[in-house]
Amino acid sequence: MHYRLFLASVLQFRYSLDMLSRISHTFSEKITPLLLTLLIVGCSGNTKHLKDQRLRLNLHSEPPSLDPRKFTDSTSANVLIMLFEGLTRFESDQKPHPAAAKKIALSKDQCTYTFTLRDSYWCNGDPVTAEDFAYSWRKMLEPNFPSLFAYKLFVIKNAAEVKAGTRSLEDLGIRVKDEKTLEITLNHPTPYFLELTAFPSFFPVNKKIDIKTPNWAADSGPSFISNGPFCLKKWEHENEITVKKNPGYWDSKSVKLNEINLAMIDDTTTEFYMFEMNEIDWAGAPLSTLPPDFLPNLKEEGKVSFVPSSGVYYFKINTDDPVLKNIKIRQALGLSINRHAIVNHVTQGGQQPACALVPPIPGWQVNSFFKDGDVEEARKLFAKGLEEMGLKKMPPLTLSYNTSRDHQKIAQAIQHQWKEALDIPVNLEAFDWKVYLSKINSQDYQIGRIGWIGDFNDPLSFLEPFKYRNGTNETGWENSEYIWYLEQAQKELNSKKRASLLARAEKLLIEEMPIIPLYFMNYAFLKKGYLRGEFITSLGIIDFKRAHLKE
Amino acid sequence: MKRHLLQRFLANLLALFVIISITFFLMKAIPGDPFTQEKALPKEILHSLYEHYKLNDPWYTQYGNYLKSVATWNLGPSFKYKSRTVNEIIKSGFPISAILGLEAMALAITLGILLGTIAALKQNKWQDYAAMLVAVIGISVPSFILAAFLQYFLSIKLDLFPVARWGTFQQSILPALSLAALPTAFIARLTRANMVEVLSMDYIKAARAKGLSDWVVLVKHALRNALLPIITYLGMLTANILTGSFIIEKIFGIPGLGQWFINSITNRDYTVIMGITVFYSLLLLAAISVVDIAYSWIDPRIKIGREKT
Repeated sequence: MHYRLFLASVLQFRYSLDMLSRISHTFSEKITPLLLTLLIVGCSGNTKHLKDQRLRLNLHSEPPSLDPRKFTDSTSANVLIMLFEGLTRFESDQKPHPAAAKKIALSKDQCTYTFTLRDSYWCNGDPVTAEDFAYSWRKMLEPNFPSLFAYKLFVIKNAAEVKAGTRSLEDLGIRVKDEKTLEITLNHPTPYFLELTAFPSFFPVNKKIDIKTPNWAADSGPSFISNGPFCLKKWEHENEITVKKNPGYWDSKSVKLNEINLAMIDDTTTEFYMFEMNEIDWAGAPLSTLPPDFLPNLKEEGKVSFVPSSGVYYFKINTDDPVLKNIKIRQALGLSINRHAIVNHVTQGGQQPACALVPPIPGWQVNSFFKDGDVEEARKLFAKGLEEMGLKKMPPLTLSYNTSRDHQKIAQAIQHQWKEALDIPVNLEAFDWKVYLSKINSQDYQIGRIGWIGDFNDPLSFLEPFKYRNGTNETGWENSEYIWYLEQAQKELNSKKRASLLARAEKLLIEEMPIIPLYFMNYAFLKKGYLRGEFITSLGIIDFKRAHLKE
Repeated sequence: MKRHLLQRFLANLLALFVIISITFFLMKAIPGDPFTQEKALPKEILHSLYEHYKLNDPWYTQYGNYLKSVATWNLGPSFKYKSRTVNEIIKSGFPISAILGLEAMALAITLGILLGTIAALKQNKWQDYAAMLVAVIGISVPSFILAAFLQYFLSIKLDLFPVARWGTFQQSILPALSLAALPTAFIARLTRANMVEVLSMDYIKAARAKGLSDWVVLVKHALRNALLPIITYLGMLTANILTGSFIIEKIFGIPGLGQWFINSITNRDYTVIMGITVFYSLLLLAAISVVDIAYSWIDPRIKIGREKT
């Protein structure tokens, strides 16, 4: 009886095995040639893309929008810079150069710019006109047009009022003088305006197409045309984007790449593996990040490249808090942190410790307003601060951050440092990103971390948020002397005097310490040796216009 | 039967309504909105955005709009992905997740039943223990650990499979294996338990006494009855696995529907949250209903809608 059952089960087992082997037979039929191909291809290094001048990148995620007027994130920005071009363009010297505009004239009062456009063409052959620019910018400033970044255009005369609906579009400082001439009037002198015009929010859209097909930016196709070095060839959502060289681009002879393939792999470890297996040519910033677990080893092996960024990692302090409103206590907290230790042992990403707010942006001399890790001075200040507040001991502090292993590690290090130096009990609290932002925004926190990347390469981008109590300040700090410095700087035409005014503002800010700077951020990445000619702007946009693959 | 079907349909409709409502109110209760950013936006910008996306309307208007959008199956635009609509997102993501899910299910059902049957036939012998050990590992090891493990050893070290992405059969093998582990284990244990019970039944003894071969006894009589409870599990499994696994799709870079479940909440993308919740609920309710009806059809002992004697 048992023997028969056993036979039956063996028969069934073999039946299933037979099915399995039939599957695995086709499996192995496909696998063996695949293995062989992989061996051959793997050994030879998979070089077909080099001959074709086809660059393979990972975009990390689907770009939320490829309409220059509607995007808000860096993923979209990096694709937009391949496809479109503004009046100016950043080059590898980190300065804006004339691009779609061949000539730029500035009035004596430094408020009116006159741009003369080059002969350049959209991907469908239409000529690029001044009207395309004017139309785009006006559209963004219409009260009902959903554009988050419209505020970047508020330097233009009456733009803020037009958006709010209190003035009509005719009052905008935008005038089309003829097909190739555009005149822009600003509210006041803005030395970084030509940097703004290089930013994707200032890119043009084709007026004819936008009127005919308002939804042109949703997919690749005959309606999706752009005026930059590349044209959008394929867009498989959440999967892949392919761009091809634009023959009608005015500088197409400088464009050596024929094609760029952008995958959309969200997982940073998988991206790293794909780089190792030679499936992509770049891993890490600015399009994504290198997996933090692998970073220290890769750094030691010398494989990682670093590039400074216009970004600073700092802590906001709620100065309306009953204890933290005391300046000496804030200063004690700021001085007692050992930034070198954190950068060398916690983040390990080659960052630069920050004893000032404004990072090393082009044309600015980075300041250092205090000694890093000055525990002695910190203790003195702390004792005085407690005395002023009439406190014997410091009540527990709460340090908040948005959920992330990296932020958690830094927070733990600081918690430890504050306990050691000042004997303060510190609680750590993590929140989901949007919840965290809401709490910071409503000042429902004591101390919270923030990462800030400049909108443009000017100290104002870092100092202005703290001008008034409301807005992105979120610390409750306001100082009339600080406001005076910033307003004077805004009117100042002499660049040296302006820089000195801004430096004095920064010094005041750091002295009062409503924020504690930690380190200046950088971009860490891996790239294949055969890729040349690309560069990363300090604002985190990578430009492949002049890139090529050396065989 | 017809009356029962109608009752079923109405019950599902009610369930769906409750699910939508709870999701809507929960969603509105969390802090943050689609436009919350580090850099505070000027008031007029926020206002114009809220107007455009109708977020300024009172909550009951927004609620009514959602109900209407579900009824007409026009689930609205994504707040974050400016040129995508929720319908498009589901249409492009679901087939990919579904194919991956079906592959995993096919694997799980075949392997699971096989392991469970062997274990039942060789109860308390080494084959049983071995099969159940595999099952326990499959249930205990999280799918993403298995995925990372497979990716590292079979793809990076041995170069047998592509690292990631979707499109060819080879690219689907590792993710399907990772997804199939848990269902395989579950099905194996279920099958074993049921087979053991069924094999001790009287009618099995009768069949053998009649002189039927062991093979016929096993396949024609025992297996069919033992697999009945598996069908219940399969109902829920189908809905779960077809809508994609967030973590597997993330590790292997597969553009399926799974990522949307988590990302839409992080982004506070209201329309996407509502849309895919409704979609998933529909699938789940349909799957459960099909299972229940199939049961009454397969097992003559179960009669729906009629009184028990």
